[in-house]
Amino acid sequence: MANTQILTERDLFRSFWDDGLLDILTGMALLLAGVGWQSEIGALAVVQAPLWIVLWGPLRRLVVEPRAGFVRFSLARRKRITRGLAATLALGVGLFAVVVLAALVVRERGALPTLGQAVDGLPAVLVAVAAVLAGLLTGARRFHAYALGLVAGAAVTVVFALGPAFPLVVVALAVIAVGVTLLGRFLRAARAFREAS
Amino acid sequence: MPFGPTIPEVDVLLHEPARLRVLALLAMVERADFMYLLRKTGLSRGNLSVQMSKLEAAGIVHLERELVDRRPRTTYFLSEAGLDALRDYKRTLLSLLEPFPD
Repeated sequence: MANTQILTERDLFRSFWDDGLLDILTGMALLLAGVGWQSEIGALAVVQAPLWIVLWGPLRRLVVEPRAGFVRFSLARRKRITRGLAATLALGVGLFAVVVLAALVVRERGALPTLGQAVDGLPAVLVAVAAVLAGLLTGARRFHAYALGLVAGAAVTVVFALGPAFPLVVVALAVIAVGVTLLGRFLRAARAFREAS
Repeated sequence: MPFGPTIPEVDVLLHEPARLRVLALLAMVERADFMYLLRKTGLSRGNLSVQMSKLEAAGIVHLERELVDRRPRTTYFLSEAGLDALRDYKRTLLSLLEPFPD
């Protein structure tokens, strides 16, 4: 019996995110948040995060669509993803900002060094929550792996007192590496397809 | 004139494998452009072009042209008639295959 794979709407939707663009932009947002954290910008480093995600649409039209084509999913699917992504973004940035401020207050007072150390891991945990939601919404399971990395990084930073930026920067570099790999694979496949057709 | 019930006829326009693949794909999304259909169906450019022309001429799919970032984008989507035809086709196939043992 032939081994046939039936294409479903869910598979189509999952493959929509396989070009790595979202990973690269997410990684850049995370990297700048981590690097900015160490600088004088501090909590304000979080503000730049949504700007990277906004770039996704124009970049997709410029890089991905000429090679993979354009598709618009069903209205129900689009409503679900729009609501979910907006909620994820608001939740991620909002909680992140709250925890940043809480961490700054704790540090300013300097009275609770142990709690302060524990709070250092929270930004990464909160971003991990957003990553889990993003994974559920897009169907891209690698976002769950990113979430696991962030939680592990948070644990390491709490135990070894490496600071809140450590897990963000390390995971950001991994996310960018995955994104670049996926984008490279996508561009090679697109070139091969163009030459073959 | 046939006597009693007859075996239902299958819509030959939809029953062609390449066209059926395109229609199954368009039924899963709201709309898609030629490149997307090309990538996901695995048909050749020429074959897809011929099938899309036939489906469009039959009113099964509609075509829409728009400018996005000052570049033309042509998308295909199933018409109401196309959706009805697909529903009828599915019913016909199910009724034909229903007596077939698993």
